[in-house]
Amino acid sequence: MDKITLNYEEMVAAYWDSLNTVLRGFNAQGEFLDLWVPDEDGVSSILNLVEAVQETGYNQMELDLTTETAQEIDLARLQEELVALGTVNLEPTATGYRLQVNGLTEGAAFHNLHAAYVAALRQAYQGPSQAGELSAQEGLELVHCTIKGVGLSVLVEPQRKIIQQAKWQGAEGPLEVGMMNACCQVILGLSLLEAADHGVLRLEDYLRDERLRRPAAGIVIPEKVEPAFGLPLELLRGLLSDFRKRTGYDQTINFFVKAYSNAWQALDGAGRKQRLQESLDQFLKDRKLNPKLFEVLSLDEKGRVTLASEVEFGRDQKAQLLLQLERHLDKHLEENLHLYVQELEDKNSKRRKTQENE
Amino acid sequence: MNQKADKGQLILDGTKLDWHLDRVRAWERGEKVPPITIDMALTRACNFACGFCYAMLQENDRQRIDQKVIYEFLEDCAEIGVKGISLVSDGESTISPVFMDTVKYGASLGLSMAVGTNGYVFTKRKLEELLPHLTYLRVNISAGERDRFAEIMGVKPEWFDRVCQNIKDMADIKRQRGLEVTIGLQMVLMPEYEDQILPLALLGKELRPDYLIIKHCSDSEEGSLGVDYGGYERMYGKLEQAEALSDEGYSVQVKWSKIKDEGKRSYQRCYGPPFMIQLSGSGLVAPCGMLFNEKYKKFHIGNIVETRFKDIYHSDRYWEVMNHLASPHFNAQKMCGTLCLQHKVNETLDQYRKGQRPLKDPTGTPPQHINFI
Repeated sequence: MDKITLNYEEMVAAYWDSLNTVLRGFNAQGEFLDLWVPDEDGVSSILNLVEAVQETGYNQMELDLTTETAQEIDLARLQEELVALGTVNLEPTATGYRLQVNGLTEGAAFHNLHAAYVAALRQAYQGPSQAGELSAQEGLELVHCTIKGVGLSVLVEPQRKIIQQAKWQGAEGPLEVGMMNACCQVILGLSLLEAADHGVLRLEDYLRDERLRRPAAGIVIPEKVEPAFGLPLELLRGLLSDFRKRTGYDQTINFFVKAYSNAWQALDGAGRKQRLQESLDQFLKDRKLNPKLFEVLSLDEKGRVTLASEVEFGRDQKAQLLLQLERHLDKHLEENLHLYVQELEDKNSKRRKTQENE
Repeated sequence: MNQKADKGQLILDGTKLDWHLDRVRAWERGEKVPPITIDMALTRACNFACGFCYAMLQENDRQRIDQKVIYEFLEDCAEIGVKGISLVSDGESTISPVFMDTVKYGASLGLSMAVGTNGYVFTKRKLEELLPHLTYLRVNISAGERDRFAEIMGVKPEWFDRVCQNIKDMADIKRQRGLEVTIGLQMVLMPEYEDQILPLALLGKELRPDYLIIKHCSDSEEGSLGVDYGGYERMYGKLEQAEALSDEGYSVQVKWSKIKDEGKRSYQRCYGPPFMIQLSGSGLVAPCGMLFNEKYKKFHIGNIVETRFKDIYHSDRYWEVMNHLASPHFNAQKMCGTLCLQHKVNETLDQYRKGQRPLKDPTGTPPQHINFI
């Protein structure tokens, strides 16, 4: 079944009407909505409806809402909740809104997943497949691990143990395939030790939509907040274990730092500073903030960026923006750029005197 | 007094995190866990001027911690489940007008209280009043001879005599009144203070505190204090001689694990702060003292002078910063100074997360100072 179009207010009215008129074999809207019960909370009510449509086997649904109904519903929360079921689109119409949820059949596979991971996993599932076999190549070592029928093979440069290629085998269903596709992408360029130690932390970070609420009230431990991370965790540790057994590699302390991209390395100091300023400007523009909020003072070889600002900030605003900006640069410009503001000198007169004497 | 519960082994070179596995398991489940230990100061000011002082690098926007602020803070700590508060951090808390009240009120709320101090402004009367409320009191003293004390700690030579008298009084009061409080001395060892290792160990033997701990000196990630970590190895023999001066009732211990690490970290993620955070004497709440300076603004969470601590603890900002430190965006090997307060906790949790160390419920008598992990 492909698509169904419904009118929310009419359905709710019909449901209440049926409650008063039907004694047995109660079914307000026909068999396809056996599971649906409206809820006083509009978000839960529509969520229940979309789940019922998905269970019935439809791939797409359209739901018309009047302006009055839409005003009573937290539309942002509704869209966040629906992400786990399909691709969501909300368009204004002459009488209110039309909610479209597409890809419900595939979305069923992501149904019980935390909403923060659904969009990226769906994209990883639909994107280029990383399924396949690898065979040893000259100058590269083949390392392999299989857990519960899913295999992960990587080609590793033996000197620094850097993963050059990665392919999976045997994954089934959109969730597992999406997870393995993403995993194969994320571990490229990492050392085997880094992949085993922090590969799943990196994978979780890569897949999480930061606009949605964090998947844990406290600290996010990937395989605890989402059991689907358990498989890549075991596989990545298994790769290291296989490599250790075959080669006697026994390094346990991990000093890995990912190299700068080729494009970044090709730039000189002025070029890097310019790219940084552009990325900073974009960050401020996206948030409709004062374009003069921060100025890049310096950028050193180790990736330390010092920013200056003459603007008055609200309480905690500066600290929050700096952390957000660093993450923005990390995702959109270059990993390993670290933001600082100008250092404050010690105001303690005795201690300062000692420093001056030295 | 709450410190009566602290018995067993005195762990000075390690972590007591294993004795709080309920919190570790809750942390792992993604729950909000209150800090077990908070290290803080009541002011950023100090009446000494030690050459090794890390506080020189920790300047931030100063605000005043008065009695209302600190009382509300202590009440919040007790309410959310903090267990121990050490007044150490980046200032000399004993020179704050609210020092005595802080210790007494904290202890009355059931919090384990502890102090790290230069030991100068005490009198025998004040010590009589203070010691029954403390789990430990540790005096920072990095020399055993009068003139070298003055040089190293940036004060007049006669201040040495007063500090020594105070240490002696502490030990006497403890013994006479049968108090549970632990009296300790701490030497922050820079390689150039080598000549003071044995004189200080001998001085301790005479003054009779419970212990002398000799530790490395921390430095910033840029090496601002100029600590020569390669310079510690030549002192191993002298350090062993100092340890040999221990007797029944006086223990000399060297923080070997940190000294031998030579300032290097085995881990990149910083998992420790949810269990152990630090507050500056300005009221600033930060995951770690090494991040107090304005320079590290991105890690600053709030200030108890402006916001109730329980609100800071429950805020999204608090957990955003904690998560950032535990994420791939943070690398303690590159972005931190050396050998921080959370080092042993970080090491333990990192090994656990990498599958190198299991979580095991400990057996036997709990160690002393269990709430100072």
